[in-house]
Amino acid sequence: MVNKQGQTRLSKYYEHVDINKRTLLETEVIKRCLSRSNEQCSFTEYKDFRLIYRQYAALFIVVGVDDTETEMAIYEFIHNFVEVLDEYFSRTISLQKINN
Amino acid sequence: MRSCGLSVCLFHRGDGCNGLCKSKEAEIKRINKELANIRSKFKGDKALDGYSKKKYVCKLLFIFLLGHDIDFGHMEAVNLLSSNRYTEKQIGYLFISVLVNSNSELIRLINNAIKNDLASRNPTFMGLALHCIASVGSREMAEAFAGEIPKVLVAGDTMDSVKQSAALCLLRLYRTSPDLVPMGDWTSRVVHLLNDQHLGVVTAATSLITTLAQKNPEEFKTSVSLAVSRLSRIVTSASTDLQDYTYYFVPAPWLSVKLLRLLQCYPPPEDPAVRGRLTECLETILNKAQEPPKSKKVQHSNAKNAVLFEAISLIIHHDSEPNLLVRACNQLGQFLQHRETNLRYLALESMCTLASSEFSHEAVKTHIETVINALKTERDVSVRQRAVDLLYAMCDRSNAPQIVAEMLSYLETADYSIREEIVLKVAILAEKYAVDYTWYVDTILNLIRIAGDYVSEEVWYRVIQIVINRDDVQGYAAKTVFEALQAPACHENLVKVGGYILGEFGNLIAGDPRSSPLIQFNLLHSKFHLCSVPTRALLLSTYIKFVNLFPEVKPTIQDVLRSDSQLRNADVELQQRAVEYLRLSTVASTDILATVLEEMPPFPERESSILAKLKKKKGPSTVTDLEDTKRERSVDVNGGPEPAPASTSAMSTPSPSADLLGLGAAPPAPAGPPPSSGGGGLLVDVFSDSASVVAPLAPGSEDNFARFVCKNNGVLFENQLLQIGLKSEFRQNLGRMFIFYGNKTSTQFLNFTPTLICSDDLQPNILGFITKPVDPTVEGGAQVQQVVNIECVSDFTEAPVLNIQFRYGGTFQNVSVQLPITLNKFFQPTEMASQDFFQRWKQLSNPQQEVQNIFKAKHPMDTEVTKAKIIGFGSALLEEVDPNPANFVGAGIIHTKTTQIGCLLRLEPNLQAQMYRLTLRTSKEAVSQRLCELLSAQF
Repeated sequence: MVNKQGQTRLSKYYEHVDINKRTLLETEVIKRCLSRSNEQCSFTEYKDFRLIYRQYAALFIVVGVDDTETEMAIYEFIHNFVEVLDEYFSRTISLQKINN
Repeated sequence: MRSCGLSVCLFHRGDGCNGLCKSKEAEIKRINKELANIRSKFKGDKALDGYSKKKYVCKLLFIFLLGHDIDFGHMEAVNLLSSNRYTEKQIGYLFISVLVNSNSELIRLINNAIKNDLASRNPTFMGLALHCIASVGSREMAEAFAGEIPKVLVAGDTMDSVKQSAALCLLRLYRTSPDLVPMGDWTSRVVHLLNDQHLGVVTAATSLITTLAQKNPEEFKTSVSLAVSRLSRIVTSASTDLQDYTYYFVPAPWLSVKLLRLLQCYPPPEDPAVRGRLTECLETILNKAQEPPKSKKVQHSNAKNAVLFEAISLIIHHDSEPNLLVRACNQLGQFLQHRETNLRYLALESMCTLASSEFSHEAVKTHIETVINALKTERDVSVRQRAVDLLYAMCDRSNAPQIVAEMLSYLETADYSIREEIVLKVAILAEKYAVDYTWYVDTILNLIRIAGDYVSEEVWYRVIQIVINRDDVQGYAAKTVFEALQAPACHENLVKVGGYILGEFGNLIAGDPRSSPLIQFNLLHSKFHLCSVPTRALLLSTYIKFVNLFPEVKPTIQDVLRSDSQLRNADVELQQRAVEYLRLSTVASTDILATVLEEMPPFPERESSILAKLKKKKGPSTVTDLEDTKRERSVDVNGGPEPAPASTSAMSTPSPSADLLGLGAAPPAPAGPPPSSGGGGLLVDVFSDSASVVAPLAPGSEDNFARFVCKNNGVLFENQLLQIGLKSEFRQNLGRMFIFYGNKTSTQFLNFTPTLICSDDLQPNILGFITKPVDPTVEGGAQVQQVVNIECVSDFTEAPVLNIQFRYGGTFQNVSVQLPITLNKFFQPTEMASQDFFQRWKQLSNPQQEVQNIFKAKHPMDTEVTKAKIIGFGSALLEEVDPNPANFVGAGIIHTKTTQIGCLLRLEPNLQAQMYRLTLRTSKEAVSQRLCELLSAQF
């Protein structure tokens, strides 16, 4: 989860990645997504991963998956996730996420 | 810094430092103060109550997450694990999950606490413990719990939520340490979780099973029918049946996707009932896509499409139902024009795989106009890239000119990031589907004109190889490059191609006064000074070729070579060429020049180096064309680690000193082709693979090969020049083969280099060494001998190839024959009595062990000849074993370095029908198979 300024707000890794490498990885991934315009599709490739992202106001949610996942399912999963967050925290905004 | 699910409000007292201090210094100061405070609390005499312990551990965790080091507090965190309060236990686990290290003392305590929680039967505690195992996910965790979790997972009384966590936790451990997760009887019970009432459990179990099934397909085979019936129930359920698992009127979309994924681990179900049910499901999913949406919300259509795309991938994966494939294609065709960019992108991508199925290739082709339109109008480069991929995949002979033309025109405006790939694709398609090679030459020259910078070496090497190998296109090529070179600014790659082609075939257009030799030369030379060193080196070679082709320009060229800028060029390679070529043109007679500078010999046929490059660039996934995958195998052969070392070095430019000396002597007999074909480095590049390429097997060598299956000595190959004889002996897993090369002519063979080539498949199984190289010169009428030592490491099917390259009277000869080293050579005959034979025969009754072949006799059915052949094959011929005296039985042991394989065989002739039935039983399927093939060909 990243804001428009490119700062990571929340990250979760499902494989072990060295903490120093994470920053680098996140910067590159963010750069790739932020540089895309609204007209472009929500899927892009980064190294061996496919990145699937959605933008909610100033917040980007980016998911990196390997080729065993379906893009469309992940794309909609992001939305489902956001709805769940909304449900729990009611009208989620970026700053709240820092605190919660 | 990362934030986490942790509340900062723990720092609530007073000073307002909410983890967001004004300056770094202030923050450090505040943190240090707090650390000192916590340390004193932990060390204090007063035992802390659970609440305070939790509070301070939590603070430590927060400080760590702010980026500061924490070197104490671990013990307190571990203590929290044994608390009975959820909030305390949770903070303990959180701390451990984030800050665990392999401190052995602590690990033991932690594991103990986890073990207690797992056994607690309290679902919340079990959940916390499982989450901790999964978040750490280390090998140590797997060692401690990989045996335990399956039990929790399949126990009858485990709560649903715990089952979910257990399945996902096990999945995590399996991903990091698959070797530590024992397979056992729990696997069949896990499969039955697909039937579970609780859809959350089913979802978690499906993820687990999918991963497990990829590595152990047999073990999880039963999941197919369960997955199909589960899927069928979901797909046909009413949109509200599944309650929480219905997402905007789509029933359990993510679970459906997962089930469809799981089914992609397996081929289409064999059971017709299951298969029918699955087909029904897939049809329903396709039908739903056509129905009016149940909701206008985008979430509804997204979820529906997610299932649809996964269903289409399953259809493509099965590749067996033409009807479904065509429907899938039509559905994707609709998406190609959808207003959602995401859908267009995914449709193009799926269609790309669909194009390689024989059932749907034609259907995909009908969308060509839409795809071309996408290439022109899409605003997103990633979508355009997918369109290029799809055009490449759907290309065949019928639409190649159109597709190539479209790609070329797109190339003019294409994004820089994908130009090189498009260039490679155009080059491959142009070559593969060229009916008319003038079209091919035009296309490649256009390619260089439009995107010269992106045309890699491989592309222009290839056009030269093709022009040289096809004499019908040479004149046209010369004319075209000549015209192209007249452009005021042309790309250096064009100069390279132009230089090379005019050097070889400039004479074909020299008759036209507009392209007379001098004009050709001046044209090339006008580019010379703008080019890089390798190109200049190539042009110098072109000039010396001109000296041979057009004696009238010799003085002009000699002047150029003689100029200081050449003879004293700072670049050694250029200088050397200038000196050598100048000398060559002065000293050598026209005959010698003609020999040295003769036209390049055709290149051996081989896989396009461009295709190899594209594969390297993109991985095989994008090169999905059926033909490409077929060709892939040949890459291994050509690109394998077997470049005949002798010939490679002989073909590259000889070392400078040798070269210089060689020129002083009478005819400089250049090794291999004349040294005039390209830049030094380029020359090596062009030839380094080609030298390793062997000629296709000599005609008739198959028959000869078969004759050697049952005998060891004889003539293996013979043509007008060369005879190859063999004498071989085998003992156990070792063999020695004497090869005799006879020169049947009265002239010497030069650079005679035989090489033994074992393909990559064969390499690990059979080892062959040539003990000593033969003398590179074979006198007329002489015979030379070579010894090959052979070791059989394990059973094999292919045979090594003997490649012989030599020069005879100025022409390069390249002969390949298969060496008759076959598996049966390593037979040791075994005598046994009838009773023993049948007892062993019965022991080998497993269907994989037996291979049977019924075939028509190709030779007269003579009992004595048959006996001789079976003995020659290497097995013992057992008399009076088979109750039917007309049958033949044999027994023996194949010796390989790694194992010995017992073999029994039985041959039943049928004189009336002129047929045989051959049955082989061995302990290894591949061996039975191979021996049966070999022996069947003998009768």
